[in-house]
Amino acid sequence: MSMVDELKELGANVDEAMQRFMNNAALYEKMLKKLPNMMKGTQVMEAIEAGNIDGAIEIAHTLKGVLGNLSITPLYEAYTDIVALLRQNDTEKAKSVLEGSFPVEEKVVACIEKYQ
Amino acid sequence: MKRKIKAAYKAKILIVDDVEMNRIILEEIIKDMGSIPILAESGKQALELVAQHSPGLVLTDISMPEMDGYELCRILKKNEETKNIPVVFISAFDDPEDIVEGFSLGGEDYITKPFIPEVVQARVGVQLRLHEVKRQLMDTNRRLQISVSEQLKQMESEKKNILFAMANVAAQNADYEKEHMNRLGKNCRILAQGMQLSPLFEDQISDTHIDTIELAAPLCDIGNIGIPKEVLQKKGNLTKEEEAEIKKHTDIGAKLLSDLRVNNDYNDFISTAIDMARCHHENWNGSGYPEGLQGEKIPLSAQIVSIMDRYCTLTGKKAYSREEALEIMRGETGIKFNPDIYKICNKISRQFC
Repeated sequence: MSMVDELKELGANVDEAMQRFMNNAALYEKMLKKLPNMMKGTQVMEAIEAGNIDGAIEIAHTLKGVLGNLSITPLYEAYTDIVALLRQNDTEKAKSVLEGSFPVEEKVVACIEKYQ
Repeated sequence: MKRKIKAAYKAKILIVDDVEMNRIILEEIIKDMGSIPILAESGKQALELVAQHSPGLVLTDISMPEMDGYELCRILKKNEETKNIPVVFISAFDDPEDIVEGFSLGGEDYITKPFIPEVVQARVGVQLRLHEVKRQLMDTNRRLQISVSEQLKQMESEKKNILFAMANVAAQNADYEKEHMNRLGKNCRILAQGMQLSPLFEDQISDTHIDTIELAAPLCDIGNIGIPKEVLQKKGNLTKEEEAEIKKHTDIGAKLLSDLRVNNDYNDFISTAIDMARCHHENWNGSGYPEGLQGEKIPLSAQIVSIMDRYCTLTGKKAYSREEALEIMRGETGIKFNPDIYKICNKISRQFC
């Protein structure tokens, strides 16, 4: 099983991502391998808890863009909600969605790191 | 036209995003449509690359540290050289306000993340085509303006020719010497140049104004075209009615010239010619006509043509020598002429033709 196949099983929309990367599979994989260093879910949580909502929005917003472009759909959807909730100042709900995303994040990161 | 629009796709597209992954995906999408991607990771770097590459379009993320996409757009749209470069914003679309703000700053369009290659290419393509069509329109407009301006110049030149032809007829009607108009123009130029060297007048006479004075001076009596020839050529004393008739030539000349204003360059010449035509019979002490203006209220160009017209008449038709003419004019200084201008006239009189 390849990294891409494993990610597919975790809910990633790999076909959509391949179109986005103009069917350049090597480039897609190269970008996927950069993801573990970019995943900053805990930083978003720390910012929320410190009351730095603007900072939390900024990190979550960037992650949302990256996850969307890589089509890591479950995490992309979670961060779409997190950004929206933070903008509405609903920090409790945002924290809850964020916590819910951590296990998926761990699995995605572990899968990618396996192929580094 | 189609070929030119296709060529627009070969334009350089500046991609501005602080996230490497977004830059790289957009780079692939832009390459795929045949355009040349240039990458910048900050607004500051984008400005440097704009100056270096003159891109055909800027694709910029909104949210970036230090200089965000809005600020970059604001700077580009403020600069005369970059204001026409289309700016397309990249938005995560989590706040519709982002897009409204982008448009209000002059941004042309937006694309959303995650990128859909067909949408990015279609939106960038539309902007490139629009930009190319706009550029072609501006080019056509510029060419049209040049053409109109050349035609205006041609019209002005033809109008000047007509004016001088009319002034010649007026001179013949008044039985002036053949060379009078030519000498008047040249001598006015010489006097104006002399005055330019004097601290009294140096601020009032520019080089361009000297050219205008030489050109406009021969038109000072153009109003004679509206005066009956038999009155103009009458030997012996004029009746009061005839004198009044002749005096009308200043207003007739000024009116005729006023009707010919076209554009600014031309108006400088026409304005000077009008001053000269209307006021060349005004006297320094206020005893002249048509308005009885006194001293410095008389336009300087009219003072110049007035004194030189007298000199040319005395040394031409009346056959006085230069010295005799100046002697006669000395007696008229302070009455007809500005004493300061007479002094200069006297000093440089050897140069007169």
